[in-house]
Amino acid sequence: MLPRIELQDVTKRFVDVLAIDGISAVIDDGEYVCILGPTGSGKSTLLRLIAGLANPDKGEIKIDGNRVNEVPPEHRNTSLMPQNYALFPHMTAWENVAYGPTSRGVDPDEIARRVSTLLKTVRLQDWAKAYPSQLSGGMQQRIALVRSLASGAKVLLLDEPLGTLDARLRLDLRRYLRRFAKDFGLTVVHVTHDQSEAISIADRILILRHGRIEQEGNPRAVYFTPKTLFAASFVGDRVLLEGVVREVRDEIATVEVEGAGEIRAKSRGLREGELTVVAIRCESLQLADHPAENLNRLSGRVIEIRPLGAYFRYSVELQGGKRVYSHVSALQALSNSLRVGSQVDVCFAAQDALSYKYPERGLALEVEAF
Amino acid sequence: MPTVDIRELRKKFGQFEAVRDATMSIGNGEYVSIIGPSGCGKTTLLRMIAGILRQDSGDVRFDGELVNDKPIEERGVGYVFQDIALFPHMNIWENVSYGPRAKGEPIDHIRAVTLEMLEMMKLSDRYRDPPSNLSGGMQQKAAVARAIAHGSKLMLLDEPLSMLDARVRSELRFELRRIVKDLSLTAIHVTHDQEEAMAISDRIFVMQKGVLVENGSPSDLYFRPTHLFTAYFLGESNILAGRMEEPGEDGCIVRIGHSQLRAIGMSGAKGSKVAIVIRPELAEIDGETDDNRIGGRVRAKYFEGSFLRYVVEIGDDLFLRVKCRVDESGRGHRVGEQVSVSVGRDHVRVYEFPAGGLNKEIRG
Repeated sequence: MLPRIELQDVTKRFVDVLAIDGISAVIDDGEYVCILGPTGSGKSTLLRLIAGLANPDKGEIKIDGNRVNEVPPEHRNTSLMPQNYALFPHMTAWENVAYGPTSRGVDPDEIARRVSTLLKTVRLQDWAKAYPSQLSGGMQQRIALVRSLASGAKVLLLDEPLGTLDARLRLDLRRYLRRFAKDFGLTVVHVTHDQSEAISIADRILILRHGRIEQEGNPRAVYFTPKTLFAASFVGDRVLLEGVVREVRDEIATVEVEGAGEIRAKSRGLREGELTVVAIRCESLQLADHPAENLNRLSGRVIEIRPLGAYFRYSVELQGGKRVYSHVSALQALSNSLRVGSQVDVCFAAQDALSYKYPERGLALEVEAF
Repeated sequence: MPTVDIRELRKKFGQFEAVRDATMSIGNGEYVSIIGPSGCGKTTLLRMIAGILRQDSGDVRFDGELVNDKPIEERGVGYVFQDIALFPHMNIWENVSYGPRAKGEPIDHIRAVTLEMLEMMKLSDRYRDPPSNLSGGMQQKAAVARAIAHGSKLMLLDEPLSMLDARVRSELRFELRRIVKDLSLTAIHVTHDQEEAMAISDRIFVMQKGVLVENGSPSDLYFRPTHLFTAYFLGESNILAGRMEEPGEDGCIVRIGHSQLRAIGMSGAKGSKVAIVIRPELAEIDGETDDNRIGGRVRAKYFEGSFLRYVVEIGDDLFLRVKCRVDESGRGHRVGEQVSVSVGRDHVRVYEFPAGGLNKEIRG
């Protein structure tokens, strides 16, 4: 399969901000890629460079093997759905969706078929004759989404396509978006700040930070083996424990966590005496009455229990005052006897704890806690 | 920490009934949220409570006192908008201290209140920054701080987190709750995000098409919803059409496709059509319960981070979504594999089949 989009050392500066800092990446034909990063990481800029709405200061962008740096947006075979989409106010929902294929001279029967299918998939078939002003914000967003799908371009560029929708609808549309892209053989670059959206939807995720690629990989790899502390803190819900490496043996570090005790974690290249931050996924922290022998164990007290739907979030204050959060599946939470105030052991496997070198500029700045 | 009492509030926009007979009682220090899809009337309701919008009929009382005729500035409420509304030309200190300054409070008081707020929001070292220097999350915290510094004990929050990054949003939820609880405020929080509502509130009101359909603690609404719409909107549900085989107050037997299930819920007439709700995370593949076991074939499997989602075909054109925990090594069940889905009787809930059909009921 030929790569559809190639970026070579792409750089873009806005006055004094280096928005994109020498990015090289390849996106394959038919691949669904999510660009994931916090506000200001450069993800929308990258998308606009691919679309041709901005030009790189340096580097090359290729689509279907051809350099497109000098090619205007309308000749790139891409379709961009910007974050602040604008529907044509004087056209009905139907006309808005039909606009792209109509102006490209697609056969009317095919347009009718396409538009009606698209409206159905976003459950707006009954609103085909409504004007944008008669639709709610969420409905307008859905129309904008299917409008960009209707033009027939093979490369779809989506900037926070689900961002302003109801949470409920957002979940439903994730699966729909991916299936739609696969059914139509589209190549998709989808920008989002929502890690769970990226994980559910993408073939591959590029984590962007300060205009550089922090990590790339499939959802499993990104989720289970984040390469940096930033990636670990950004993807999935993790507890971060600060400590000192006391010993390393067989790639397992013994880390002393101040006040709370010693734990074992994957050493990931760290050496004895180094300061470290150990990251553990909240769902790997078990609150077991009889934990298996070889697990780490830190004792504490339950201070809050919040049911969040599929899981319950238990806040546990460890000895020494550090708070950790254990995500217990709803089925387990409904059957255990823990209450606020219960003494509890927080247990986890060394394999589920990843050590990272303590960041030079401090933990809070590194993980962009606010 | 006022109580809030709302009696039969109504609001029409032209022919459109935005809010119909909304009645709610909110206690001292309670954190309440109102959830529903866009257009359900939740923001209109909040605006009437705030005094931004005048109701057509009905009463609003704070601490027992009727406030119908008071404009927002006399109701003593703090209102936080979806769009962060800080004054751009003022720094964070000036923004947060704005309320007490405008009221002509003594300097010492202004200083004390502002400092306390900034510390509570962990913004102390940013007090000289203009809003534009701060991240979205910090700005919204400053907006909350400004509303609280104003001296209001009742916080009205209209989608306060929806413009923020997902990561910031999920952390700020717990912080908002902590602040409201620490200061013994009463809060009414409008959101379309059911997970946010579960995380933040003591009690949730579910709203659909202008009507408050039910309210309860997050657990009650999630695990024991009275209305089918709540089961749909709060969290995720399999909602399937079935038949009542053996009704009973303490448990019943229903049929979905070829499977007979032990269930609980409304007791309809034998043979009547019913809606059956099963939460994907309360079903398991090869689980321990013997209450119900449903044979099927895995049709699809999705990795979703902390969960694997299976789509299991349990009959002709009948699918059950099942969410299971994953670990790194475990790859779970293969697509095409024959499996047995187990669900406890308490997690199969039966509802009257909606007259207008399932789709109309839950999606409008």
